[in-house]
Amino acid sequence: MIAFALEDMVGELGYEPVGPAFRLSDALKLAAEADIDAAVLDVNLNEQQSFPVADLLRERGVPFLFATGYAEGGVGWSGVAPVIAKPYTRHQLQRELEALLR
Amino acid sequence: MPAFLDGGGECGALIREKDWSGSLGSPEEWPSSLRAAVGLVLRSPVPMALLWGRDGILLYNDGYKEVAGANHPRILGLPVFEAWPEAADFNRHVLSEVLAGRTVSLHGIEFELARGAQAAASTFDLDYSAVPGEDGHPAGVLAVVIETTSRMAAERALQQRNDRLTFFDNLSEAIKSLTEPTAIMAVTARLLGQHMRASVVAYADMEADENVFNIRGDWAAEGSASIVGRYSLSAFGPTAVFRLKAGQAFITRDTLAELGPEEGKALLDLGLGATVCMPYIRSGRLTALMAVHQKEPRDWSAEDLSLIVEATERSWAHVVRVRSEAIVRESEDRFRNIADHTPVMLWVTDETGYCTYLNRTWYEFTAQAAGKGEGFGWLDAVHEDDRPEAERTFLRANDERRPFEIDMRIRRSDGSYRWCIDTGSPRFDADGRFLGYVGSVLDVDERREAVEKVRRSEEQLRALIEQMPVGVAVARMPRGEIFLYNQALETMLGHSILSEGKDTYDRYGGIDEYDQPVAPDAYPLFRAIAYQETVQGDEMRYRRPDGRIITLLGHAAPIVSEDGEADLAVVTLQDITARKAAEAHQVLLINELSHRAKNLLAIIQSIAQQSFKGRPEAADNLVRFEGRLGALSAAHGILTQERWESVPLRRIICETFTALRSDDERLILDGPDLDLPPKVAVSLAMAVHELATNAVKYGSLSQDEGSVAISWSAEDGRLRLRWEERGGPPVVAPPSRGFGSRMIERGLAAELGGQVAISFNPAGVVCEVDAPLPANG
Repeated sequence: MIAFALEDMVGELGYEPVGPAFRLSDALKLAAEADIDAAVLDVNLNEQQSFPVADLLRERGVPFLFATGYAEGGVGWSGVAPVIAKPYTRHQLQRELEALLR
Repeated sequence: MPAFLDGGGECGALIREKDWSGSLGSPEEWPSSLRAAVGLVLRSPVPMALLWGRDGILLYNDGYKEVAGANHPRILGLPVFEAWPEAADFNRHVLSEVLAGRTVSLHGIEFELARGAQAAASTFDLDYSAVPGEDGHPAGVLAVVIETTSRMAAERALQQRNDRLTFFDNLSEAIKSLTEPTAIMAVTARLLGQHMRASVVAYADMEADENVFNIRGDWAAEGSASIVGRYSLSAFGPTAVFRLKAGQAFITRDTLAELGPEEGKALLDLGLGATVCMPYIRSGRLTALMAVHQKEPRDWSAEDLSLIVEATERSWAHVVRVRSEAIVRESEDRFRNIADHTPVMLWVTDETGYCTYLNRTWYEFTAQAAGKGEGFGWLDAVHEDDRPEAERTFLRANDERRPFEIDMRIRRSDGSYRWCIDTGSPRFDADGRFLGYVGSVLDVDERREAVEKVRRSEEQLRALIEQMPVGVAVARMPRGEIFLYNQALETMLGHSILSEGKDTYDRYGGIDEYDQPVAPDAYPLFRAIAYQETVQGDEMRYRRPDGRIITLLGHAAPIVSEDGEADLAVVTLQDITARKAAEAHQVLLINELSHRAKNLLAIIQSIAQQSFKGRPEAADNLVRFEGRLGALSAAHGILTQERWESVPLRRIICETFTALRSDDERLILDGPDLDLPPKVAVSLAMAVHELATNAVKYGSLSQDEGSVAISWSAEDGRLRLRWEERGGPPVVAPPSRGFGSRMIERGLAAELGGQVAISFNPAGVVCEVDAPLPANG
């Protein structure tokens, strides 16, 4: 459900949403094959951590950001990427996406 | 008194007083040669006599009195032929020889002389020499008379004794190495017969009736016949029967004269004139006879009889010994025969501890060379580590003459060492004298190994129990006494496990929620023992002696062995106090979180209200929004109650539904019990909320007769669920999918990982779900 909100928001911001992928396997597929310019990655995908997807995106050189419900602490990924906290406003999303695509 | 007679002793006096008229005349007128001779004789201590003149008038001294015996003093002065009529010829010879000038010496001559009550044989050494008369020619005879009767008798006796000793030496020598009774008797008979110059010496066995006897063998001299045969004792006459049966010798010196022709018939018919028959009595019965016979009558002397008695006794004694040695040997042979065939190893030692016998089984077992085990050779087969102890125990027991038992390893023929038990018992003879030991050796290796195995496995069990991180106790049935437990248990409970009795239950033990002691059957171990129950996961509060209360998780069960019997029961206890505290804390946290989440939802609701206030065209949206929020909140509430573990499918559907409509007869459910994980439960709740809301607004629930049937199945690892509306107005598909449909078809599908399809069938909306079931469904 949260993914739908994001899909809508992305569309309204003027971008073309690709996905959403609800499962790790689907997400990996998108990350590997789809023609994308940026990605928003929930840290938890159906009880699994999405770090493999992050690794893949990094390899491909696709900029992305993490969305997480957990308040404090690092995301726990080996690399560096921007993080926004859920729930986020469309404004916050817009700002982060623009920074990614710069 | 003429001077020459003076000092002549008794004889001198008698000569003086005697009336010599008619023979020699008065002594004062005797010729000087006679006077000198008489004077000489009378003074000599040696027995002497004078025979004077052709008549041989006998004059003698006091020494000669012994020779004269009772004839003194009568014969003094008599002519010698009158004095000694029984030696007349002899004296005549002497006189004639000596008076002719010759000497006569006769030593060791024997005379039958009547000197007292009876005539008796006497021996003398006699020396006769001439006494010159006045003219120098022999006028008389001087006789020096030395009686040697007793010396001869002594010499004879000595000779006899030597003969006897020699005889017995020969006899002993001859029979000592004989082992056959018959041979012993035969040799004795021969030697006895030869020595005694008897006619026949025979030996016989009596039969049980003490009458019939069998002469088994005899020795017969030249000219006598063997008398071997079967006889009846009664035929030998009542005297023989009486004496022999009484154990006395039966002796005849002249059978015909003593027994008469009738009683003596049996002997006389055998040609036997004199008999010495010796009886052998054993256990009060006449058992054997030995007899020395003479063809002619024979006056058996005391020596003869004594010899016969001793010879027969010696030979019988030897026979007895030989027989008992044979019996012993036979019984030894029998023993050996049995011992060698016994499957158990047997041994015998003598009183010094020296091993005198080991049976064949020992030699086969140890493969020691025959005979090598004797003495102390058996120790070679004992394992060298066990040898010192074995030797020590054996020697000590030997000193104390007590039974003993030794455990030791013995080398078997295949080279391996087998554990054996050596058991020995002392043995004593009839007089209580210690003879040594007899014992057996048993291979108990397997048994010992079995015992070892049990011991090892018990040790392993103990070690295992000790290692276990939970408290363990094992108790024996049926009494339930605990014999095995670990340190962890004692540490956990804070007291010793071994029973201190029931009165401790108020100090420590299981307690209920009111802190009161629980009944014995609340204890898992008790139930395992008393009711053979298997108790799983029993929780019990427990008060320790130090006052602390802990919560225990107990499992107990009887242990059934292979034969189906339960001898033991085991209980394991875990201290879950910390876990329970953590669980309680978790519940607290979840409730707290839930409370805060609810608060958050409430705040969102009011924000929405405020945001949409004053916009009538948004009223519909607001209601919808509130409904959805409510469904979400309700779903969360259920999850919180279930501690965010899993929720039954049925419950999610019912509670979501009844939040909208209170009449649940319009809802028909059909499907198995199924637990859903939290995220799936929330998605499903949201979906049901959307479907139900649409059904109420546009679908079957908008009319009184309408209903909704929800059916599902869980098969082959997949959940198939179907929402079907019935009895509602005809359905018109909307031109585009609203949020609700999208949420259901895509969101729920995504959450479930399956397919969800909404069909706007004219009869009623249908929603179908097909998704894999989570593994813990």
